[in-house]
Order: sequence, then C-alpha cells, then structure tokens
Amino acid sequence: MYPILLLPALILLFGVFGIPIVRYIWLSFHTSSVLTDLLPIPNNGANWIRLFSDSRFWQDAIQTFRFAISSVILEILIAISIAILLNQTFKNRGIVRTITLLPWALPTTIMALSWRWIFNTPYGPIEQILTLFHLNSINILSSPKIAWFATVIADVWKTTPFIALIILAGLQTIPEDLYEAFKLEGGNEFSAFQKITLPLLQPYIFLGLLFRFAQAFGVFDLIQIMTGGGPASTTESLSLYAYLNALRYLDFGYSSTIIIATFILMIIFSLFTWILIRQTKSLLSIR
Amino acid sequence: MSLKLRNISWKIDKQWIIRDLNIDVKDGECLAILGPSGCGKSSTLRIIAGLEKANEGHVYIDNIDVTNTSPVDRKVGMVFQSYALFPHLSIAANLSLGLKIRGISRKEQEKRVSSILSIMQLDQYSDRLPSELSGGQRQRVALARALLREPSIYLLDEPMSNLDAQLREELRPELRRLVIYGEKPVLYVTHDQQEAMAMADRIAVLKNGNLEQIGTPEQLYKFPTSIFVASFIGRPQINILPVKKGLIKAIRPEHIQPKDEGIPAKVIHREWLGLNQIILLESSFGTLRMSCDPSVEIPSTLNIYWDAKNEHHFDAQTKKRIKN
Repeated sequence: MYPILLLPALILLFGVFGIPIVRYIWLSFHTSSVLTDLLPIPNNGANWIRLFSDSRFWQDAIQTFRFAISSVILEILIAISIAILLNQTFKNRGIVRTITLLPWALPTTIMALSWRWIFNTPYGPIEQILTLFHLNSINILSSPKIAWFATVIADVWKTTPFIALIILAGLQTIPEDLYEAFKLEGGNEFSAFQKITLPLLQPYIFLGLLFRFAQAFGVFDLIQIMTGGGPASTTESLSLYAYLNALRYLDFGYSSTIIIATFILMIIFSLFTWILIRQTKSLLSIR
Repeated sequence: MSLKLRNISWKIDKQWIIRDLNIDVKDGECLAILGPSGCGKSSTLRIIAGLEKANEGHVYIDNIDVTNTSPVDRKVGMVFQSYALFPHLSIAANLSLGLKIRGISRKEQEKRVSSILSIMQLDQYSDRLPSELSGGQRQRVALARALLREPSIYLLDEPMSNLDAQLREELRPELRRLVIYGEKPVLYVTHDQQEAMAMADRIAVLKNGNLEQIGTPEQLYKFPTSIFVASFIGRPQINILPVKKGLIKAIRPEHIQPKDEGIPAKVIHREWLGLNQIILLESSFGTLRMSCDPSVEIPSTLNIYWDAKNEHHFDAQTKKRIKN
C-alpha cells in the first residue's frame, strides 16, 4: 500500500549489493594494476578476452564445481542419517543434539588448521596410523590427485551439522500418524522412508542443497589455510584465484573480471539446479 | 463375539495408562469408548490396532488371539483423529497405496479405488491433494481407506473432532450408514458424551484407565453406577446434592419442577433454548440446574420440587451407586 516504506531496505540492499556489483562490472572493463598506478584505464574488454583463454581460470572453475558438488552431496547424505538418528527418542538427546552442532559453530580458520594437522606428513594422526600398520605414506596434502578430497572432507565435517539441523526440523514436521497409518496398510520401515519420509523431506533437502551450494562455490578461507590452493593449484578455487590476482599480483581489473565471471557461473548453475529440482519433484511423487 | 479384550493392562514407565480392561464387542455392534482426555481411550484403540503392545492381557479378534500379531495382519480399519492422509499423494494414490503394498494387481486397484470413490461421492476429487479438500471430505477419504482395508474391525479415533459442530451433526447419519450399520464391530473413541450417545449401541466409560461402566446409552443415563458416570452423561449436568450421613444424592435437571409448596429457590441465570429452558437456581441445596418446558413462565423467586424416586444415591466414600 505504501511502497515508499520499502525504500530504506532497498537503499540498504542497493548499497551492499548493487554498488559493488556495478563497480566490479565497470572495473572488469578496465586495466587497474601496478602498471597503471592502480588507476582504472579502459581496455576495450581485454580482461574478458584474456579470461576466455586463461586455462588456469577454467581449471579453477572445474575444481570449484568438483569441490562444491562433492561436498554438498556428501553433506546431504550424511546429514539425513544424522537427522534421523537425532530424531529418535533417547536419553540426553538435547546434549547430543548440541554436541552435533559444535563443528558448525567452530571458526573455519581453527578447524582448517586442525584438519591441516590431521593430514600432516609425517606427524599428523593419519600418517601415524599408516605407520603403525606399516603402510606406505600417502602424503595427502601434497598429492595433486587427492589433496582436493581432503578439503572436501574438512568442509563436510564442518557444515554437515547445519544441513542435519535443517533436515531435523523437516523430520519434526512429519506427523507420527502417517507412519502408523502406513504400518496398518502393511508397509515396512524401509518403504516408509522411501514413500513418506523422503518425499516430505524434499523441500528441506532442496533448501539445504541451494544454501550450501552457493556457500561452497565461494569457498576461500578453508582452502587458503589448508593448502593455499596447492599442490600445483589443484585445490585452487575461483575465489582464491580472484584474491591472488587482486592482492598478490595487484591486478584489480582482472580480479574483478574473475569475480563477475564466477557470479555468472553461479547464477547459471543455480538455475540449472532449480530446473533439476522441479524435474525430480514430479519424478519422486508417487501416482 | 468378534472383539474381546481380556485383562488388558498397559503402562508407560511406571504409570499405568490402562488397568485390567475387559471389553466385548459383537459383530455389527458399535461401542463408544468415552472419557475425559488422558483416560486411556485412545491407548485402548492403539493396543487393539497393534500400534502399542499391552504389558498384560490378550486381544481376540474373531476369536483368534492377536496379542502378538503384527498390525497389518490384524486387518483393522482405522480412522485417525488427524485422518493421517499422505499429504504428498493424490486422493486416488492415498487410497491405492495400501492395495499396492499388499500386492493387489494394478487393474484390481483401480477398480476398487474408483468404486469406493463413487460410494463416498468423491469421484471428482481423485486427482486432488488432501490439502485441497474440506475437513468433511478428508474424513470421507480416511473412511474410504479404512473400508478398502476390508477389515475385521473398525477403529475410529475421534473421527469428528476436527469438524465444526454443524458438519458433525450432518455427518453422523452418513458415518452410521457407511461403517456402523455393517457386519463388523466398530469401536468409536470420543470425549463427547452426546456424540457417543448418538452413534453407539453401547458406551464404555473410562476413567484413569479403568472401566467405570459399560452399557446402552439408556442404562448409563438412567442407572449410572458412579458419580463420575452420572456427571459425564447428560447435559445439562446432573445436580449433585450435598453429602448427608455418608450419602450423596443426585438429581437430573429435568426432574426438578416448579411447585407452589416446595424448596424455596432464587433464579440466578436463565438460558432459553427453544427446545427447553435451563434455569440456574440458588437454594438450600446449593446451586441447582433445572431444565423445564420453554413455555413455563419462571419468576425470579420460586419453590421447586422433585420426586424422590428420581434421585440417584451414591456412597459418599466410594462414590458408587447404592441400590434405591
């Protein structure tokens, strides 16, 4: 009725989202580096031409997708199991629920340092266990083939509780009656999970999926601390690459180009996920 | 006898929910289980369905001991208070799900579902979701699901409590026609004494997990075996008179009449309801409810009277009926 009342919120949104985005788009069409004394000089889209032939950018894009998709899928699967466990009645359930949330409450820097230590060669616990059984050292964080998966494990460890919480909230909206009615009709527990729990959890799973994917796609701190993008840039994410361009190579123009490109990729992927969700929805419902 | 409960006792932790319950229900008979919330009436239903297991006692359906039988093999048609329809499935899918689980062919599923939908006058809703139906329609779907089960016994857990008062009265005859006039025993759990009297052939009144009294509505109304039953059955509520020499007398409101020579009383509140009028009186017996003909003019002070043969007498200690 009074659209003018929306103005303060809109001004705030424009201030924190609109201005930076417009500024970065503008900057991505300029050269602004040590060579120009950091002054933005128009370059007729040279940054964008460079981006399309920059194999490191595309390599990082693939790596970022790989990281985000693997960790989100693992998180959802583990979170569903945890949520089902936490939804049972048992002694000290409140305490157990709180403890489960702890990894999520831990600052990323601290937990990333801990995981770096866990994977440390030769002193970390994993290497110690391998030595105990006289197995060969894996050298996880220095191995280009598996280092990325170590970062996925750390990310899964940290954020699974968050999704578990969302799914637990979803589980609690499903009335017990439905399971009882299903039991009276002859259904067993496994088919109850498939035909009642999963379809009714769907909105919560998709919510977690979208939330977490957006977050994982922008991963920076975890990787910066655990591997610094190495070995041989195999764990480098797009955010890390943008950061390196801005603050190590002092090339703000190109860094802005990477940020905007990441932003576009993200929107494309979200749309894709959204379409996929709509497809699965009709697939899962039983007619 | 088609349903027999023998010495059923059930407890949660150390709290007895049901104590030594014995109930028989014949084929085609509707028994209402009536009582205040927490009296164990829903628990009784759940034990019969096999959703809970009694600590002691046995359940017989069609003279077969089903105490250790799984819920599905007991073949009960249950209507839940919430109806428990699957919110993500269409009405047709809700109804066919059980048939599908029990391995009935697709063709047969469709045949049975469409026939029950037309009996229930739900044909045009088969593709709707439960959330797109009204309360009364949802109740019919829940009933249809129970009927499709071809059960040995019907268990209805407060099937009307989610409906508004007017709809409830409209649906009573329909419910009786569809389920209760069948050949199977029907257990009807309710906390509404009026509904119990309207729907049931017999009523079992439960209090704190104990069977207080079982009998026809008329027996319960005319010969309540305890003060609890006397106060629970009949509206307006029976008048409990003050204790005198270890005796509690009670008198139904309709048995109190205005009379020239009688107990003096003062009107403190009146409700003219068309069918009757309910007068709240202050007298030497305390506050009394009187129900009388709506055409009678009631002055603000009057004398009242009741016939001693209409009194119910109870022992003040045990609260149980004394023969009179």
